[in-house]
This record gives sequence, C-alpha cells and structure tokens, in this order.
Amino acid sequence: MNALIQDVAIKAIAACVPKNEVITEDKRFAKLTGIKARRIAPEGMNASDLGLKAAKELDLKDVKFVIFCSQTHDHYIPFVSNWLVKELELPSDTGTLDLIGGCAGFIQGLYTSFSISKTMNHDVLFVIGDTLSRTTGEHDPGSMGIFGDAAAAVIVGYEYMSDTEFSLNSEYSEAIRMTGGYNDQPDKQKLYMDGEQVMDFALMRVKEMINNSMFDNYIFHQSNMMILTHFKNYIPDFSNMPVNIDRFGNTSGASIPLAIVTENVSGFCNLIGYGSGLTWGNCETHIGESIQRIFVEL
Amino acid sequence: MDRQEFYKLFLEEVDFYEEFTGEIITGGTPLQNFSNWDSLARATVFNFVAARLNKKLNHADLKQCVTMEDLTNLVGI
Repeated sequence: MNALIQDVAIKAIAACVPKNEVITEDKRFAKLTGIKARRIAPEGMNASDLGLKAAKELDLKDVKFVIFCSQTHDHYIPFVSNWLVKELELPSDTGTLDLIGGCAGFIQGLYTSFSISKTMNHDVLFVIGDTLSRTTGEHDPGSMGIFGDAAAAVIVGYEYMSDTEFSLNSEYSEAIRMTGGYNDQPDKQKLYMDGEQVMDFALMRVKEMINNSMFDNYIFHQSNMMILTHFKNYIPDFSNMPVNIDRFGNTSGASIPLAIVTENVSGFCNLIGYGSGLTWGNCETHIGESIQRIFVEL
Repeated sequence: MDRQEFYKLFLEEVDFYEEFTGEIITGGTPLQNFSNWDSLARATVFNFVAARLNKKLNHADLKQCVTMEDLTNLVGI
C-alpha cells in the first residue's frame, strides 16, 4: 500500500541505549559484518525502560496517544503503552496501542502514528525498542553477535504544508522467527534467523524503494554492513547514507531513529525498513534541522 | 579475472579464521576444506562478486556449491 499524509511531521526524537558496551572480540566477524561494538541491556532492563528514558526527554504536553512497538515486550498484558502513560503521568484520556513489529517496525509504527495524529489533531508519542540480544544464543549461531539493544521515542504532530509518503509491503516467510507465542509454550523467546535468505530478500525488495528523488539522506535499517554496502551502490552520489552499526549493532526497529539521532540527520529523507514478517516499507519525509535529537544512556 | 585470480581474491576477502594450509587450490578443492565455509563466508563471496565482477548471485545457489569449481562455474569464470 502507498499513502500520502499531509500536515503531519516528526517533531522530536530521543534515543536511548544501555550504558553496557560489548566489544566484538571476533575480528573476522567485526570486519565482515561491520559490527565492532553493541550495547547490551543487563538483566532486568527491558525495552520499555529504554523507551521510557527516551520519552522523558521529550515535550509531551500535547500528546494524546501513545504507541509502543516491539518484538520483546516485557509482557503482553498489561500493555506497555498503558504502563508508559502511567510512568509519564499522562492523563487518562490518552489513547494507547501496542504493536508487534520487527526491523520494519519503525515504518509501520510511524505510519500508524501519522494516521492517528492526522485524524485527532494532537501529538502522538511513538516508542519503539527491543532487547533482542537476550533472544539469541547457541540455539541459532547465525544470529549471535548481530543484535544490540536500544529504544527510541518520537513525537509526531501537526506541521503546516508537510508531505510524507509511505509504502508498506509484506509476504509470509519463516526466514526470521521468534518463539514464545502460545503454540511454543513453554519455550522462552528465542530468535531464529536464516541470514542468507534475509539478505536475498533485502537486496531484492529494498531496491524497489530506492528511487532517484533528490533525497539528502537514505536512512536504512542498520542490519549488517554486507547488506548496507550493496545499498550504498544503489543510491545517487549526492545522497548521504548514515551508518552507525559499527557502534550499536543491529538494533532492529529502533535502528532508524537511533541513526537519525546519532548521525544528526536532517533534510529530505528516505527512511527504509525491512525485516521479519517478512515486511518492508519506506517513508519519504522531511526532518527539520531544528527538531530535537536527543541521545541518552541508561 | 581468471580462476587463479579468483582463488586469491576468495582467500583475501573471506578472511578465514585459519590460513588455508591445504594443497594448491584447484577446481576440485572442497569448500568445506576451508576452516569456516559458513553463512558469513557465503555472504562475503556474494558481496565481492557483486563489487568486483558486477554479478549478482543468489544465496540458495551459493549454498549448493560443494567444490571450488562449482563456485567458479556459478560466478561464470
């Protein structure tokens, strides 16, 4: 599907990562994937905690809706978005919604946020984050060492004469799967990923979303450097492609807003997400130079 | 690029954990003889073939390669 949403924009972004930094000791792995370090949440620190810390940095006075998107919710009920409303001391007439989204979750959640903000004429607080590092392990060597933990909080609201275009796409595949659902009990959440199948998918589908419009920046989901190297060849020479995977690893849905913050991105941007589902999508939007970009650690 | 050049590039790019100490690489050399012919190694081959030879492989085909000759045939050299 494609959609154009007018008079709504990203107004502020805050990103939060754990203070705990883990250096990639396997030099070959670091060289090939580009992942030199990751931030790993210690036991007891959840995606919601990282998201809350980020959200507290933002101006929430016009927020009337809170969305939380993750694959690693602390728990399914009560909803994390409701917990955020309580912790942020927002009024009870604040709408809430929890979403399950993977590495394209930022685009899916952003589209939902833009749509809701447009119809209610108030700000939406969109929080996205994951602690995927604790779902990987010996059960799936292919995904070990890839994922870092992070969250981001974004304020979406009214902006006069702002045009944003979205594209969202999907196909069913078990190339990436996470146990922990009803049918998997009593398994804990465990991630399994066929990295090669995902790479073929990403290179085929993401190319469709790269057009030669005059984008100042292409901000791709930070999956691994092998995939990002290909994308670099697809984009026009005049465009930038911010990269921060060397310092944070693959932080799933939070990787795009984290890159906007750490690489101080602004201008006409093509945000491109792709991952589990499989899902892929992009958002063509303007990110103002003066919007807040805040980086915090927990 | 001829096959000898490809073999040299293959060793440089994939950067195996252990230096290849076998005999001279030939078409019949099994890929499993390299210390870690894994998904990371295949992705690296995928990347350098695209960059140096401007040829797009498929991981499903790469996985089917058993010998170096299978690989060079797939690459088309």
